[in-house]
Amino acid sequence: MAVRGKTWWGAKFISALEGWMDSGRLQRGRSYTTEFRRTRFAIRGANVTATMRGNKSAYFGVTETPYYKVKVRLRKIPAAHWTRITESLGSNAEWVTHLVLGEVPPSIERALEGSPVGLLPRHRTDLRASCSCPDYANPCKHIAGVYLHLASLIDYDPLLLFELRGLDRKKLQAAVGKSEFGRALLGDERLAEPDLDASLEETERSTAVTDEPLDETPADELGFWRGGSLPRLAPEERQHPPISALMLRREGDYPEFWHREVSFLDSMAAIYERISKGLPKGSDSGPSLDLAGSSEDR
Amino acid sequence: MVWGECARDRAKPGRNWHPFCSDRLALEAAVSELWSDLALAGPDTGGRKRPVWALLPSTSARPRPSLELQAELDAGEVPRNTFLEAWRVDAIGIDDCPGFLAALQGVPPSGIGQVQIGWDLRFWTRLTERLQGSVVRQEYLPSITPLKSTPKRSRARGGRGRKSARRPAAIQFKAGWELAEATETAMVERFAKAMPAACRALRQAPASKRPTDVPLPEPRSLIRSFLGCQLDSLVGRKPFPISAMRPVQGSFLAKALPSPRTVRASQSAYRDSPIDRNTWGQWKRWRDRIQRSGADSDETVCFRLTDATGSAPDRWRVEWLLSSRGDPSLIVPLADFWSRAEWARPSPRSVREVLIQLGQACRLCNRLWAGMDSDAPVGVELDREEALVFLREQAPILQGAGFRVIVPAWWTATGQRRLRLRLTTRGVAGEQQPGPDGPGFLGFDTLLEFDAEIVLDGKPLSREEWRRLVAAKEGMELRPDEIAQLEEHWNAAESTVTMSVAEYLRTESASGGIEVVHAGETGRLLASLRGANPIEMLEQPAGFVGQLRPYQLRGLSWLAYLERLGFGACLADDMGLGKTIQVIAGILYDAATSPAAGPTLLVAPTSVVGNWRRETGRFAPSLKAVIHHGPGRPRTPDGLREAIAGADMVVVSFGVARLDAKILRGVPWRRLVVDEAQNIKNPSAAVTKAIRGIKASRRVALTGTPVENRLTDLWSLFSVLNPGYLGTITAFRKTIERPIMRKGDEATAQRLRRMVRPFILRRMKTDKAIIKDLPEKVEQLAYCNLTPEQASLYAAVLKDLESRLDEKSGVERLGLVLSTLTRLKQICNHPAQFLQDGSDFTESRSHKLARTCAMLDEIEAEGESALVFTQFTEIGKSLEALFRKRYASAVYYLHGGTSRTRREHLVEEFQNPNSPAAIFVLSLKAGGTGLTLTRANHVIHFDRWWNPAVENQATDRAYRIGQSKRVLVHKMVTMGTLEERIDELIESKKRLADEIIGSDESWLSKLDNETFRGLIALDRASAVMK
Repeated sequence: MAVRGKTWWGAKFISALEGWMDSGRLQRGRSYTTEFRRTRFAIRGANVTATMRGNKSAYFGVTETPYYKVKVRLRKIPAAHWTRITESLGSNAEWVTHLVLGEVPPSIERALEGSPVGLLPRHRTDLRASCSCPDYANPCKHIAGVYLHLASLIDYDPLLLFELRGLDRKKLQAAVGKSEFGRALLGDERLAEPDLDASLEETERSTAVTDEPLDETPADELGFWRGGSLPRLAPEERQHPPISALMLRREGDYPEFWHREVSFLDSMAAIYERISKGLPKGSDSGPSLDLAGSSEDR
Repeated sequence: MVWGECARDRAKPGRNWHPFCSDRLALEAAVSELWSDLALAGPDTGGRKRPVWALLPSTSARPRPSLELQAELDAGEVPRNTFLEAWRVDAIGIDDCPGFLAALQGVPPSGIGQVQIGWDLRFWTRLTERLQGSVVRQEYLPSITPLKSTPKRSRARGGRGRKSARRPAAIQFKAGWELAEATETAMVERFAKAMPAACRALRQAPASKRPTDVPLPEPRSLIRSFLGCQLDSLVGRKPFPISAMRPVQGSFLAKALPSPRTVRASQSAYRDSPIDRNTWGQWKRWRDRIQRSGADSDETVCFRLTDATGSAPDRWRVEWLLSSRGDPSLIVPLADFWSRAEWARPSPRSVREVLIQLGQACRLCNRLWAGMDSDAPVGVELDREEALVFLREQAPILQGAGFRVIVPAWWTATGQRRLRLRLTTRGVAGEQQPGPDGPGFLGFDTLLEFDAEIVLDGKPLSREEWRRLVAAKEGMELRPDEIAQLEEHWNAAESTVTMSVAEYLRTESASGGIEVVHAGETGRLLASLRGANPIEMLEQPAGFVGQLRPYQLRGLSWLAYLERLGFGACLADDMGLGKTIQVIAGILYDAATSPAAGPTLLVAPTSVVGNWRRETGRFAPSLKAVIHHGPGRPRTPDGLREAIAGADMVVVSFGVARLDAKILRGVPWRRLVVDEAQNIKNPSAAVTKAIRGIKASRRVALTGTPVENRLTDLWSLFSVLNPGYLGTITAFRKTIERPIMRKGDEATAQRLRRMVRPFILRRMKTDKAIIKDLPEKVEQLAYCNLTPEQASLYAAVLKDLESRLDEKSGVERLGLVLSTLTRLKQICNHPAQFLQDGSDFTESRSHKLARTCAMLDEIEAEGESALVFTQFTEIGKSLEALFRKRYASAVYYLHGGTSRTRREHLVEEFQNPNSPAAIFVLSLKAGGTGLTLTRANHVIHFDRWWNPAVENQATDRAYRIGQSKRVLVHKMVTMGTLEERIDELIESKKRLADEIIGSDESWLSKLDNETFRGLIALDRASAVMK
């Protein structure tokens, strides 16, 4: 299976790699994206360092599990350009909106006009990497593993791209935040880590059946057996939405928890349809349609 | 879990055991009676069950039976002091709970066979129905629930004593589904109000210890918990095949879906690996964004599509607006938001919220992104084609996702469409023979000719202009299929379109893109089908005794009009508006205008066959009505023709219509009238088929219960009235019923509505035009027959009297007279009342009872309440029991033995506007005075009293200050018996001095023997159908 990013920018990152890497290596790099292989991974500023677990090989005289140090750097966008870039980012609603929604704006390169380096890698020279393994090829499979991991990280965190290009996320937000729209990027609590304890309590509160002391007069047999009148159901209470999985579509495709490469929304749309089909068939009476209406006024 | 009660006590209930709960075997039998899938799903019988206790209103020694069973058991007085007490009951669990509850949706309140559904189970059924609606609407999403797991002891296996090294995690995450918060809250609030306490009565507790002082579960939390479980099991009902599972492999969704049983093992590796906290966090953020979307912001984004202007016909705009959450009617352009003054600058948070909402809308409708590329986005420009796509496809999606979209008025259903096919009626095609009645007769098969032209904004277009328009997508207000249809019509025959009347009606109903200009006589006829022209109003036919009310004249005119055009008509007026006399007047009118055209065949339920003849005699004495019934009836078409020679009307029961289908088919009828047409709602029933086969050039159906609510019923009705009009049943199911029922397709429903509307006249008591015509109190006699059983009993009593009447005198004679009267009245009510032998109190033994039940059916269907008066306590009790069993409405009974407190309680309960509709059975003596029962707008006098003042007083329980509706009084009269003569006496009360008729029956003893005999004689000919 071809290696593909879930988002357009992730895909572009990878396709750039494909341009200068033989496909076999990139493919092998895939097996180096697991946590088993990547024993350490750190991004400090624009520098990515990782320790990768290699293979023992008696043939090459490697008897102990080798660990290789990988360093990756993206070419920085010169500091002189940043002011202009952030200014133009902050003045465009589309760009800010994409960033707020956690996406890379498709027309981002326009904001970088004039910069010698783009946001996404374009040339082989955009990426510099080294590995301590004996493989003479660069990138080796360890480096490829790190690249692919980076690609999957930026799928969910496009601001990381800016960081790798030399602009710290805080600085970016501060700079973009100076403009009218850019302020929207400040203090977004939507990314805050959810509170597990509060959730646990909420679950307990909402699923537990609480008791109610007896305050009704048990002599009221009618109330005991009958209650109030049963709600009647309107036809629109069983109307299919105009497209499947509509409720989820506001949030866009590929949510963070979705690691597959097939579309999450398409999958959910099919799942919803299938579930609807499995509903038990009740009486076919359905909702009542007042077809004739009252016709006296004609 | 379900449990049940049965009418008999158990042989040996144990200590604390509910004395008359059903045992497991009976429960399983009952469940399988209601639910044919039981055999497949099987009750959940596995495992040991914890004992189940039911908290029920009890007296010290026994639990009280449910209301349904009280009716059955004849439980008598409600004890004053009841309290909740727990009783052990047998219960069975049901695995496929949604399947079971879905099956119950169709069970009538009277139950199936010997099984009735308790109201609490009904409640859960309705709630599940609503939940299923939410599943169809996709108002739910996958969820991960964190659960505190109780640490399990590590199990020492096989005595090795090796302890599991892994410590159990303190928190586990469970995959499942949750409802959209807004939906759930609304559902909980709506249903919590309706929940009977019986829903909360079951609990599990050790057998040894009777739970005392246990609180009941709180309704809202119980509903919420029920919805949670039901949603998971609705989703998990049908296992997903492997292919469908493939996309979700490796995500937590795989755990939330029902996996195919066969491949469980291969997936177990993933299935067993727990969901980690990280995944939960990712899900939680995502979920909160969906569930809380927009909840934090003060403004919501809306969209408005504005028309292109004349000068720039290709420039459409989707304008972006903001409405304030606090005041949704306040809408400002988004431009204002960006250009606010410095001091009013929106906060970063509201900028973010607005941008997020815009971004989400753009995600749903990519075209909108184009408008975002700006430093002050205000909207997006579209060309004609894009605007069309926006209207057709994207606006509904945006709306469905919660955005407000304002579209041009012409796009909405109420708005005008600019481009239309204009059909101008030219008349009937070719040299067709005029129908049976000369000019004016149409029928469905008549071919009509129309001039067709296409108009834009009311201006006709030339063919060349039309071509250009289609090429330029000028016809954007029309769907492509409509354009195709327009072209088809137009091209068909050089701007002349020929189609049959049925086809015309279908086309005209289906498409909003057609307008018809009605020209000439044919046009006028077609127009009045849609109510565009007032139909010709008829005078009350000569020979009609009495006075038709204005709306009845309108009904008569409508019937005559549709008949003249050759269409079948369904008169669906509310009960009490006089469908019968409208039809009788119609037959009278027809007989006068086309004499010797042949008789009308009238099919009615057995219990009203006699009523038809009687009412005909009363209102149209010149019409000759014959009843075709009984063992002596002719058995050949020739015999029948002979027997009905000269008759204007032949009345048969549904039963005879079915049995004598061949004979009835052998006679050409002027008209077929089907009374109580709900009897032919089943398209494949023998009776429906028999009636469909009857040859008649005019067809009328009467019904008081709206048939149109079930589409198959409607089809069946039309298959008799207007055969072929709604297509074959298969095609109807596929193209009409399914889209409407499964998908709630409003356009199809609208089309069907337009198709059937010309042929159904339904007026309700509450219509303004009716109220004007209707007095505040309408009294009607409901005639019924004696069953053969009743007649023989009646005759026996007469015979017994015969020998003794002359022998007795004085007090003895008075006693005999009075007892005879009572016995005869009892017989007219029901044989079981007279015999007092505990025999079955069934409708088949008394037409009067059958008729009463039929009326109550309609009353219940309207959601109205009724009073039923009787002078006999014993029949009151039987009525109460029967009604309880048969109706979902609450049933009350008040009689002389009812205590004062109980009486007040009943009245209060009945009058309470929040309680469900009810039937109140009252004894004439105990309930005839003093009470205010204005909740009821129907009063049924089950048996008659000699003094109209007493009856009126009873009627006035409902007809008095506080009554907001018209009151309909139905007086049951058994024909050919003393009841009819009592009625005649009351009617002619003026001729008898008031002092003769006292409030009791003692004056009767003053009658001489001959007069008395005349009063009580049995007129077999009219009493019993032969």
